[in-house]
Amino acid sequence: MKTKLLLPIVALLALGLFLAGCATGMTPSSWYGMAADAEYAYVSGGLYVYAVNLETHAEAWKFQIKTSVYAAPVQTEDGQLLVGGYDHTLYSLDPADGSENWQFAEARDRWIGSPLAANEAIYAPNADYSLYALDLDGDLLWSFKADQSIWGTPVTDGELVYFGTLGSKVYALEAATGELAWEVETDGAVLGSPVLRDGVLYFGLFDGALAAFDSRDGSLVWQEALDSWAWSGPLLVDETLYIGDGAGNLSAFSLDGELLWMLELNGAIVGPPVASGNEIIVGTDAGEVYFVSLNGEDIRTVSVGGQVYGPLLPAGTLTLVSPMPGSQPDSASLFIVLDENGAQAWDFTPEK
Amino acid sequence: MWETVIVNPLTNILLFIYQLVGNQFGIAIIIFTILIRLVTHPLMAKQIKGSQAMQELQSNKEWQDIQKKYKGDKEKLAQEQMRLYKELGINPFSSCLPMLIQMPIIFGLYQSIVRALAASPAQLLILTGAVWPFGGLEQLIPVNSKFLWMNLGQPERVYMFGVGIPVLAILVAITTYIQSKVTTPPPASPNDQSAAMGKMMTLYMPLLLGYFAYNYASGLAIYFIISNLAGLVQYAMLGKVNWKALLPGQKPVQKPLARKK
Repeated sequence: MKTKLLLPIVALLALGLFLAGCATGMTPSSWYGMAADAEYAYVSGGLYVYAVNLETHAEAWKFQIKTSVYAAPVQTEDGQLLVGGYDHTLYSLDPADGSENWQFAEARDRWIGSPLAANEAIYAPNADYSLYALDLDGDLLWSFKADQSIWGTPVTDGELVYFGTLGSKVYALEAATGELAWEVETDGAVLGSPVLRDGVLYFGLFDGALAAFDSRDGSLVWQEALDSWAWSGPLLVDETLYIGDGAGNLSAFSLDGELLWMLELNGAIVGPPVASGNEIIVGTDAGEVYFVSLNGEDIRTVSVGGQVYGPLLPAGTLTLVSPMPGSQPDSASLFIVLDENGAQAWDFTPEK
Repeated sequence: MWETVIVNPLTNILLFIYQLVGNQFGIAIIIFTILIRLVTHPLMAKQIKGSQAMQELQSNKEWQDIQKKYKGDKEKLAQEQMRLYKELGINPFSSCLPMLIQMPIIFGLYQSIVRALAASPAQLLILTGAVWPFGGLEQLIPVNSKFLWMNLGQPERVYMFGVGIPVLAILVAITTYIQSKVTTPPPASPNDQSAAMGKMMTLYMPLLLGYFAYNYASGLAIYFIISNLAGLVQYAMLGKVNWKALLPGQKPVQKPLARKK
């Protein structure tokens, strides 16, 4: 009798594990986010935020999050380290020792995008459809509810704050009050962060386009099609926009929307290109990191073994790369560090 | 294999329905769940009939006699059981085989909802690789997770006076309990072990599914509720719903099995 009664209990437990596994996903929910200052690299690495000394390569401190953390940490003007977790909480840490200054726990969903810290305020996008504006003590100044989740970091010109949503909309809000200045519909969802230059906003769109909007009223200035989805926003260096797409193309556009050149790389490009010296660096899901000259003519390729989705992080002459967790066989590295020649200089593996 | 054969096709069908209903993912989940229930209805009807026949067999005098008589001789007991199955026209696999065929579809349906909702960057990346490159499905993602007052990718709460009330989780628990209570056949005898198991499931299943609805995406809670309601309709169509079971103190009597002529 007892054995038979065990059956439904075991069945319920198995069902529970199955449902939980499916609902949460067995793989990590995202890729690690990174930031650096002159001394330390700060990495949102799943359960912990790590500070790693770039000279000694040693872990300086780690801060545990209740669930997990993936958004890249951000430093404020007054030296706080901001990091948003999947536990719906935005933390302010002391970058010197990882101690907590304050936390903001009023959001109702995950912090997928990093906050923007500018003009003594924090503009933090949340997946609960809201943009939260906080002062530097973590007190809420205002919040604005958009149509869908916000995954990308906003930008500001001091007067307005600009961001896009997964619901294919771009918003401009009064930075001081959160009042809506304008909103426009876009052809595709906006997952990444825009770039702002001379009154024009440049967004990567998930339907496969690079689009430019007038920051005064949101009117479309120009839009150019890409071969596949644009996950991240473009990188702007001098007078050129660089953007990657899901087909593995790295494209360079002038500020007028003219295609200057396009390179077909191996694997989809998810993270935004980053600039380092006279090169731009981009990673692909085929596990390659490309160092490309600004005119697109010289290319160096480094294979890192795991899918590269997150943004790369230039730190002086070094480049920090964090391959997708679990995508590198036999490696528990949080990130690897490439030197100026693209050779692996060292890697950081957290202590268990 | 599981992904290619079950989850990805179901995800694409779900996105196709989402497109048809004007990008309303909540409606798409409801239609999709009902559709899958309709497609698997013949299997479920077989399963219900089969399990009822097996249940009724427990109270058959001859069945009980052979259990006692051949208690120490498993081989002979199996032979006699097979003889009785044949005489009464019961297929012993008719209750579990349709269930086994349905299970992958039901689990796949659940997984396809989670996949299509893609509430995190890694999930969205997986979805981009799962969507078929035709029919304009690629243009649909990420899906619109807003439905009525809910964000379908998040646990649902209705806030009243600052307190979040999990309305859907409560509905999931209630509908699961009702479905289980009114569709569980009455015990064939006081010592019926399968009835004791059924009673446990009636009690714990609503708690388990309610817990999931409380903690996970509300899109799944909608699926659980519609699935429970559709299950009730299916049982009702087959005349197997016993509403009196919801009333306290009701002890229904099981009809004896008729021998096949």
